[in-house]
Amino acid sequence: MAAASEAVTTTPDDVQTLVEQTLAPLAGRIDRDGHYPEDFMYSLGSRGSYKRHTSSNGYGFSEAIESIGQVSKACMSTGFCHWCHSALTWYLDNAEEPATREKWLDPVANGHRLGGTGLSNGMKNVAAIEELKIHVRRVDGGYIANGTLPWVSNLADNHVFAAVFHDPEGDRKVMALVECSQPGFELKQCAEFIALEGSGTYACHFNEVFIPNDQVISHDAAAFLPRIRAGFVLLQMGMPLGVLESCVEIMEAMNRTHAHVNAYLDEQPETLREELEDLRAAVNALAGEVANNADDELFRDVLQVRERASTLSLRASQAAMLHAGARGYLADSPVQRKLRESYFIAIVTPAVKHIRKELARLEAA
Amino acid sequence: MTAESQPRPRQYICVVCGYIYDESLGDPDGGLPPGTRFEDIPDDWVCPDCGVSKADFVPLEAAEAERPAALPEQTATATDLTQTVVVGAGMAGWAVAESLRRADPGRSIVVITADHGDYYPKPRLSTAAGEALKPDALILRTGTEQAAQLGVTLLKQTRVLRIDRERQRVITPRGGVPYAKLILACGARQRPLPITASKSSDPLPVNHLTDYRKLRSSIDGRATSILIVGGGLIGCEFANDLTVAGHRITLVEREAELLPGLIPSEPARALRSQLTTSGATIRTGCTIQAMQGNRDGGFQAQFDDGDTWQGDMIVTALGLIPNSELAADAGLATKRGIVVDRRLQTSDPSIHAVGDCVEFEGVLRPYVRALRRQADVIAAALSGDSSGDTYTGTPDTVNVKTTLYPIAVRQPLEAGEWQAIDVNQWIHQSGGRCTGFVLGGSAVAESKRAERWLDRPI
Repeated sequence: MAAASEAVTTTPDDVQTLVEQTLAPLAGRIDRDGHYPEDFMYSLGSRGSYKRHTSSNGYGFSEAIESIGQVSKACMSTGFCHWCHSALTWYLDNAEEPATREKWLDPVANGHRLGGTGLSNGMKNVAAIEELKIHVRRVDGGYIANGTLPWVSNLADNHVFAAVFHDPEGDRKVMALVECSQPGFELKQCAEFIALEGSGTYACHFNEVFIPNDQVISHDAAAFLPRIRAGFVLLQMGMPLGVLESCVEIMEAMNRTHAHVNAYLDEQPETLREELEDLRAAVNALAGEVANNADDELFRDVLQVRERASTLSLRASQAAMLHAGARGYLADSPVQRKLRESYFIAIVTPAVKHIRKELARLEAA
Repeated sequence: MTAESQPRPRQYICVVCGYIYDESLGDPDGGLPPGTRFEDIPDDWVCPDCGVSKADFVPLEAAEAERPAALPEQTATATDLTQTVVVGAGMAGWAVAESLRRADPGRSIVVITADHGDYYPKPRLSTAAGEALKPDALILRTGTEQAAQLGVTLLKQTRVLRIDRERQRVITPRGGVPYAKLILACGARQRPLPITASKSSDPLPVNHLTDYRKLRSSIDGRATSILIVGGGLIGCEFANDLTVAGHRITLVEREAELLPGLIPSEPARALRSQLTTSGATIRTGCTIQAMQGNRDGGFQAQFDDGDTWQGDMIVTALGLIPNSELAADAGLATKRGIVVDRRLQTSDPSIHAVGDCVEFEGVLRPYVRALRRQADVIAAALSGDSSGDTYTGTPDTVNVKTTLYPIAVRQPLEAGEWQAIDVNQWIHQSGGRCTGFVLGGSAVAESKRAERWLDRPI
């Protein structure tokens, strides 16, 4: 098996070719039928896309975000899966339990084991928005977990994911990896979403699930989360960067034949491209700072860029629809899909409202 | 059953996913006809959205939330392509905004700052404790008030990450800000101690109000032992002020006398004597070899002569390093600071710089008078006033606000000799002319008169 430290030689062009040849033709099926592109996800792993940002690859966050962006531009549902897996790799690379890092980092970083991130509840808990939904108790050799997480993505029966648990006895938070095949654990397919149905999203039910010590990422997640949160949020920026690029290209393409009428619209591709370049420059600047940085000052900056990306994506997808007109309103048009994808950017943790609340706290300090 | 006897339908919320069970609607798909009371729901029923059982439902009232008492202000936007953008809201940033506004009431001005942009006179940081002033009492106007007074847009809590000179945009996490003219007022930071301490025992550099609040919050209301590293202007002022405020101060300076390079040894010894008389310990010709934080939150330090110090707090005042990285990163000419010409223009005609981040003819002049003059020169230059003043870099009289023994000094620019001319008065002469002076104690009141000696024959 390739080590997580093995240098990545794949270029952005290689990823682009893979996206165009194998993902783009599937985008309709993923969106309309909820197809999970498992083969593509493994292909990304074999090209090293999930480990650009690991310590042994020099914390290449810009490259990791670019890869997520390339995928998101064609299909943001899959871009989201890419982010889920890259975030999981990031936690494992930072795992405080050496046995966990030793056992899990290589298979996950190389994409041999696919997985997701159930950190939404944990991140909202840290921002005083939600209680932790899974409780654990310490037992010999690990923990026993009970409770339900409503929506965790990039999952299947043979996948893994990370989550934050409440240990009432020690009054602390524990972060650990869960195997979906573990006894007592169940994935439940529930209500249907308006988009991202191909993202392997399930409710996760824990009924006396044993979590061994070599799956524990941190026994003290309250201290651990600040160290990984900036990377967690910044990696998400691949999604808006991909959607924005795609929306601007749609407008530019429409302008070739409809500039005589589209020019009357408020939003124009030139302005949005300028703002997209600003956003990309800000992301690339912050990408060099997120490793080993638990400071509130940096997290404030990362949340600001994330909020900016949400509002810009909403503007751009709406503009793309107005520029495309009825052609964009067709059920198989990517334009209407961009609209639904951009709403996801604005509501997935950290949602715009979550960011505003957290920024109010950080900025008052 | 009559309407009166029918209990009011109730609502229950799933604590996992937020689905609301309304008794009047029931869950027909899940086998619950409308009107099914919550207590009558069978145990094998599950939430239609996430699959948990009724045990994870609570009455809706129990989950009701309240609106926060106060909400943050809306973030301003600044998208005018003709606007002038100032980076930094320290004294230099605000001074240039003020000069620009005075020169042109119609100019569109944006000030961007990573902090709150509160307007306060920075030199007061080293005199406030002795006057029993709380840190926040130094704020003359909040950033928002100052921006309103000057009619400028303030983007606060916004860090400038990059300058894109080609597209003339300032890159921030909140978006790009276009500029026609850009003024860098990035300030300077404290030089770090050349020895490494562990994170928990980092000494505190005091360079702005945020640092200063930290210092005061850990020493106010008790008599503490504080080690100040660096006997330059800021170190001496802090030593003076915190001594007056009742703290036990040890001041360490690497050179043989206090205020090295600024004043000659005689007045330096007079200052030292006044500080010592008031209870401060002065160690010159001395450096720190190591420092550690204690478990109880205190600190200890070892000096190069083998002595040790133990106390509550270590403050560094080792001089300033201009914040020139942003400029250097954008490809502007920088040496120690951002290199500017006589009109404070950088190597890019669209970008000027002002204050502590600036280097002019090889010299850094991190003083308030210098930045005020620079601000006026920039305002004239940007108004197209070619007859306007240029910046010459001439030194000003520097006031060292050590109240136990205040000092006013005009540093000479050329080699020469110091001589005492009266009690507490020294002049510097080169080639038979007066080229500098130092006044100490009550003689500082004479500094206006002393300025007239300059360039006169002796």
